[in-house]
Amino acid sequence: MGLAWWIKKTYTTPKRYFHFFPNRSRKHSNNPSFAEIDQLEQRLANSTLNSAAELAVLLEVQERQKDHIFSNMHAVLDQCKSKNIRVPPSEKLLPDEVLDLAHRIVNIREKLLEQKG
Amino acid sequence: MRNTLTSLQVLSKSEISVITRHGIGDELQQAIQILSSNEVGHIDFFTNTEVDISSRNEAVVAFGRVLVDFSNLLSEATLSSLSQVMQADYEYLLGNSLTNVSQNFLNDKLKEKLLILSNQLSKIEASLGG
Repeated sequence: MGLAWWIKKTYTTPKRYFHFFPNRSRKHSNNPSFAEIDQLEQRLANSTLNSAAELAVLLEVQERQKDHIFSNMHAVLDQCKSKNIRVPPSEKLLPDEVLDLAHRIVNIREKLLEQKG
Repeated sequence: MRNTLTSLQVLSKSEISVITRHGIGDELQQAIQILSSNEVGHIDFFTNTEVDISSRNEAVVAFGRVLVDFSNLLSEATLSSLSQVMQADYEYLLGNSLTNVSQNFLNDKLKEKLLILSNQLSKIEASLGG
């Protein structure tokens, strides 16, 4: 079974997925603990079953961690703004190599979600 | 000369008085300080290039690690670039030369991490059939 069964929103853009400034995710995500991630990885490593449900849980936890990183980044950027100072969009601040990798990650995520176990 | 990428709301320093210029300069310095105080000295790096990626389980585990490492890198690169843009704006406002302002948005450490992540993504892509 594909992971898309558990993670419904398969298609996304790098801009949205990585919360490019000025985009901001409305949901505030809490940071999962390393222990939680480690435990999930260990369970998968020891499992002979190819459980899409467990993989989806791991991916969801890693994505929560990603969202938490960008929530912190936006909080810092917000502090830098004023009526005289603006923050340029992420796409202008980031070098092409980083933007290219963001595209690749989003494409791979889509493939992973579509792939049947 | 002014940088093409700017954090300033004003189009040109000639539009504003010297006092306002200095006020904005102070605001820029404060913002640069905020950015530098949020620089993290050491960020854990989770991508493990030693592991084989031959199953979907392994691909998802490897992908999750790359995702977190890349998110940290993207955040770090964004804050560092903004800091450099603001420093250039500050020098422009004060009429100083920009020759001493770094224009290197990716330092060597970030470049090295980026290469590791790119290679790991290639392995994941190969495991998914290209």
